[in-house]
Amino acid sequence: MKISYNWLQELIPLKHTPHEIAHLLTAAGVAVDEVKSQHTGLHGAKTGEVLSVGPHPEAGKLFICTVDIGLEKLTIVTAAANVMVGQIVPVAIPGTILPDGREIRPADFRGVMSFGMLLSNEELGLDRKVVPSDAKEGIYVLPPTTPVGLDVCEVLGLFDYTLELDLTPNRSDCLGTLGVAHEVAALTGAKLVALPHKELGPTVASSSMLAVEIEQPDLCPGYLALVVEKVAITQSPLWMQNALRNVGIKPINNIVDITNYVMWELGQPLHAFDYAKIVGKTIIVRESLGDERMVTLDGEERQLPSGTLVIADRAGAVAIAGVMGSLASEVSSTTHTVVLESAYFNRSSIRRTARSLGLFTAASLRFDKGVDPMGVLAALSRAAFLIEHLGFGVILGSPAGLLPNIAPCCNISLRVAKANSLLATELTPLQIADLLERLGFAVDIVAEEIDVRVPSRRRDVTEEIDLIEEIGRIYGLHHIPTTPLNGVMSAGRQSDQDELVQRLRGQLLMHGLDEIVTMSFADPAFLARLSIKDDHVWASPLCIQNPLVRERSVMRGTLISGMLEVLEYNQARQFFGMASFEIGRVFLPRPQGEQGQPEERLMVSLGAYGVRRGNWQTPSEILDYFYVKGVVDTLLPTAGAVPSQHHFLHPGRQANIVVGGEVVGFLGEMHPGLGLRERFVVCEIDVGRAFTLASFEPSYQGLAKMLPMERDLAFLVPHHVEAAEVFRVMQEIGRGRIGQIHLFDVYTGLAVPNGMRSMAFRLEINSTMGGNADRETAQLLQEITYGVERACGATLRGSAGS
Amino acid sequence: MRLLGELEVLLAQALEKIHAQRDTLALEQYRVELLGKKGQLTAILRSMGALSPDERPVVGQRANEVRDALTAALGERSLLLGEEELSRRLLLESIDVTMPGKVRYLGHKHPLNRIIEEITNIFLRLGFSVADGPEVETEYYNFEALNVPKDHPARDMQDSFYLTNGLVLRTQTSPVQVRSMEKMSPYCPVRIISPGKVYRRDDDATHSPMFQQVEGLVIDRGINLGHLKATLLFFAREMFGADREIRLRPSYFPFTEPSAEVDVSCGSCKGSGCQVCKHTGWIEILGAGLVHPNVLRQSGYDPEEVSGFAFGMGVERIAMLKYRVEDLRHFFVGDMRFLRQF
Ligand SMILES: [Zn+2]
Repeated sequence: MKISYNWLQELIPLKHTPHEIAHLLTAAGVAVDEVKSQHTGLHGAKTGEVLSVGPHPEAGKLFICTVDIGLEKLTIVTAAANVMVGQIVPVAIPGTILPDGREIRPADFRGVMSFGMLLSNEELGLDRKVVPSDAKEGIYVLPPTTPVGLDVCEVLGLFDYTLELDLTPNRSDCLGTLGVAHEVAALTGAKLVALPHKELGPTVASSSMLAVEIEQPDLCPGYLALVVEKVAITQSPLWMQNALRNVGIKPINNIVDITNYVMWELGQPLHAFDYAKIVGKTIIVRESLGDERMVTLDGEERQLPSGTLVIADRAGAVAIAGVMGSLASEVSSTTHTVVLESAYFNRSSIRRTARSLGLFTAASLRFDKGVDPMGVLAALSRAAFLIEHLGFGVILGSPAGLLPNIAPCCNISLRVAKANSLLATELTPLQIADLLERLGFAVDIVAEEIDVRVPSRRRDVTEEIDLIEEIGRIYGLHHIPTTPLNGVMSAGRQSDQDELVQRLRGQLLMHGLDEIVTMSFADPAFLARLSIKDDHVWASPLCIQNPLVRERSVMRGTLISGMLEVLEYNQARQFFGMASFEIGRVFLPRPQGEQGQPEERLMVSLGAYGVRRGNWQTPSEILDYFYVKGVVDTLLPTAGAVPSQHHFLHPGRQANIVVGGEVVGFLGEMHPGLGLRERFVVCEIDVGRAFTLASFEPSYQGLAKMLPMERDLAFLVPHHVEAAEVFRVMQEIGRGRIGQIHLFDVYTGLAVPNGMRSMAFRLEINSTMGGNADRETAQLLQEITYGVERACGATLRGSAGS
Repeated sequence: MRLLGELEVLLAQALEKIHAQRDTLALEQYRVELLGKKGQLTAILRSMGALSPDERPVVGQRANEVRDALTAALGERSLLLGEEELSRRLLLESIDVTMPGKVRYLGHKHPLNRIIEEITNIFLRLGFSVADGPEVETEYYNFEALNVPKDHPARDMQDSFYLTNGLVLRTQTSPVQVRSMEKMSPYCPVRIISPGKVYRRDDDATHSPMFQQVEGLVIDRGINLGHLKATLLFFAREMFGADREIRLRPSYFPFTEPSAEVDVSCGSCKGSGCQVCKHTGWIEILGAGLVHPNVLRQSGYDPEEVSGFAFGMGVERIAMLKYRVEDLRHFFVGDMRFLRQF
C-alpha cells in the first residue's frame, strides 16, 4: 500500500517530515518499508504556452516554436509532432537540469538557435506505467488551465514522498489514506480535517432511473448505485492526477480517477458504469450462471466459474463483483450518464473469485481484507461531492439499493487493571481513555472500567484484548519495562529422544561423517527408479495434495532418497569421496482404512562413496561397505549383520542389521544396475528400535586380577561360511574364558586352497589364578579349534601366542 | 724397585690412552684391558708376591693410588664420551617437527543443528523444557486451536501443504505448544520450547518449502509483556552478544495478542546502520506476543486466571545472520564444500 505524504497532509496537517512519520508508524505496527521521494531530479523547468509553431526551413522533421514562459518568450526547436499552438507544455530553459543530469544550453539547430527544449514524459523522468496513455509519446501536454511560468516539478506534484506500507492482514483500515491519517492522529495528537462530502438523499430500493435487485444478500450485504447525469468525460485536474500518479495509479479520465481517488482516500472501492449500457436500467447482484463469459476491463475474455458473484443487467453480467468491470459497460468519451457503485461484499466470496480467476485488483484486495460498512455511503457522498464540485456532472436522485445493516460501532468494556497487568504498565483510566480517544474511539470511564465504542472502520478491534493491544501500540512498546521471570524454579529438560539424538550425532561426527539435512519431501519417481514393489513399506508414500513441484510431491518414507541425492550431487561435482549422515523423520501412512496422523519414525541414514584422502603418515581410507559397516559395528556393538535381499542393493553386498532378533535397519552398496556412477554405500537404521539412551551409558565391570593373554589362531574357512558364524562358535565355546576376538587378517591366494579363505583371529584369553594356566589355555584353544573345525568345516592353519 | 717403575709407566701410558678413546664401547674394552681380571694393573699386582716384606707396602700403596687415579680418569672420560654420544644421537634423531601429523577426520555438524542446539541450551538454562510433536498435523491443531478459524486467509491453499483427511504439514511448531498446554493444563508454570521442521508453500532464495523453527511458550499467573521482553533480551544477549539490545514493533499473529516483531540491534554496525541491517540498525529475528485468550481457553486454561507469552524464530534466518550465508537453499542441498565450513 502506497501513501502520498502530500495527500496525507491534506487529511491531517503535520509538522513531521515523511521519515518521522514513517518511524512513528513503524513503531506502532504499521510498518513503512520505504520512503521514496517522487522528485525525478528535474531542476529549473517552467510551464510555458506554445504561441506559434512553424516549419524549420532546413529540416522537415523539426518545428520552430515560440513559447511564453511568463517573463519572456523563447524560440525553441522541437521534433515533437504533437506540438500545437495553445498547448501548455513543460519547458526546459537554458540552465535547466534534466533527470539524467544533462544541462540545457542554447543550441544551433541547422541555423536556428533554440533556447530550450519542450519535454516529453521520459525527459520529465515520470514512470511510464503511471502516465496517461495519451501522454506516452511526444511532448507531455499539461491541462489548458495550467498557469505559465511555474516550476514544472511543483505543477506535476513531484515535491512529494511515497510511503510504502507493509500492512499486517488485520489492518485493512489502512488500505485508505484516511485510515493511516487516523493512525497518525493517534500517534502525534494532530487533528484530522473534515472532508467535504455531498449529503445524499435517503437510500431507495429503486429510483426512477435505476432499479437494484440483490439476489444474494448474504454475499452482498450492501449495495448502493448513484446515477450521475450531464457528465462530460475529460481529464481530471492535475492535482488529482499527481496524487494518483504518486501512489502508483495511472490517471484515465475524470470519472474513473475520482473513483480511484476516493478508494485511495477512504479505502472503499467504487466502480463507474456507463448508464447507457445498463440494459433494462436494472442492476442485479447475483451468482453467475454456468457458462457466462465476460471481457473484463483489461481486455481479457474470461469464463466465469459458476457461483461467481456478478453485477448484471437484464442482458447479462456487467462486472465481476468487487473485482473488475466489463469492457462493454466501461465509461468512455461518449458517456453522458454514469452509475457509481459503492458496495459491501462478503470477503470470502471476493477472495475465492479473485483467486479462481487469478485476477487481483486494488478493489478485490480491499474487499478481501475487509472494508468499513460505514464507508459504503461515505465514499459515495465523497465521490458525489468531487464530481459536482469539479463540475464533471450533477446528481439529482438518491442512491438506489441497500445500505449494509451493520452496527456503526462495537461496544467493548475494558478493565483498566487487566490492561495494566498484561502490559506491565501502571496507566491510569484517564491515560488509557486518552490513548483510545486519539484513535478515534469513543470512551466513557466508569470507575475502574472504560466503556469503549470502536468505529466500524476498525473491524479488527472487537474484544477487550484487542483494546489492550491498541493501548500498548499507541503507548509504545519501548515504554514497557523488562521484568525477569519469577515463580517456581524448574530445571529445563530434554526428552530422552533428544538426548539420544545428540549422543548419536556426536558419535557419528567423531567417526568422521558430515551431517546433512535434506527436505522431508521425496520424488515419487525415486521409488520407480529403485523399482520398489507395491507391497514394500515405502511403496505408498503420503501424498501432498498441492505440491509445488512433482519432485517434491510426497513425504519421504526413507532417508535414503535424500541421502542418494546428496551423494550424487557431490559426486557430480568431482568430489573424490564423502561420508555423511542424516537424522530425521520418515513418514509412514496408516494402514488402509485406519484414520489419523501417519507414523513419524526417527531414522538415521549413513551414506558414503569414494576415498578419504590421507597424507604421508595416514593411509587413504576407502569409504566402502566395510567403512560404513565399521561405523555401525561401533555404534551398535551388539548388533548382527544378516545377509539380506533388498533388490535395490548389490545382491552380494548387503545386510540387515539385527538387534535382539529384530531387524532395525539395513546397509549395503547400491545395486550396480541402477546406473549410478560410483559405488554408493547406504545404511538406514530405526533410531527408536536400535538405540536406547542406556546403550550410550558406560557399564563398568571392574578390573581383572591378571592381565589377559593373547593367542592367535588361523583357520582355512570355506567361502560359504560367514565370518559371523566363526565368531559365534568361538564366543560360544569361550564364553567367560575369552574376551575380545579380533579378525586381524583375511587372505586368499597362494597356499590357500580354492573355495577357502584364511582367517587369522587374535583371542584375548582371560587369565586365571593358579598353577595350571598354561595347560588350561592349551585346553581352551584345542576346544575352540575343534569346535570351529567341526561347525564351520574349517581347518587349523596355525597358532601362535605370547 | 722395578715394579714401582712399571707402575709409573703404566699410569702415564694408561692416562694417555684413556684420553685417546673415542667412544664408550672402546673405553670399556680398555678398562677391562687395564683393570680387568686379566688386566695390566692386575698383572703388576700379582707379581707383588715376589717382593720383600719391606717393599710390599710401598709398592702396594702406590698400586692402589694408580688404580684410583685410573678409575677416576676412566669415569671422567666415560661421562664425557657419554655426553658426546648422546648429543650426537639426539642430533641424528631430530625430525622435521613441522611435518603434518597423522590425520583424524572429524565430521561437521550441520549449521542448522548447531544453531538449534545453541538456542535450546540457552532456554534450558532458563528452565525451559523441550517439547516435540508431529510434523503432519491435523487442521485443528495447526489452525483452529491457534485462533485461525476456517475462513481465515492464513488457511489458504496457497500457503500450506495439504494432505488428505484434514491433515496438513504444520506451518509452524505452535501445534506443539497447544498439545503441551492440553497435556499440562491447568498446571503452572509451563515453560517449553519446541524446535522442529515446518512447511510452507514458498520457494526462493529467502523462502524454503521446508524450514526449521524454534518456538517458545510460557504460561503462568501474572505473565505480562515485561516478562516477554526480559526473556527475549536474555536470549538475544546469550545468542548474539552481551552488547545487544532488542526492540519490539507491534505486529499481528492470530494466536498472540498483543503481538510484536522483535528486532535485535545489528552487531555489524552497532546500530549505526549498514548493509546487514539494511541501514536501520536493527535486524528482525523473532515474532512474539501474549498468548491470545482464545488459545488459552481452547487449551484448557482460564485467561482470567493465567496469561502467557509465546515467541518463534526461524532457525535458517538466524544461521544466515550468524554465519553470513547468502542463500537459504545451501542448507538443504548437502554440498560438501558448504557443509565442511561449519
Ligand atoms: Zn548494521
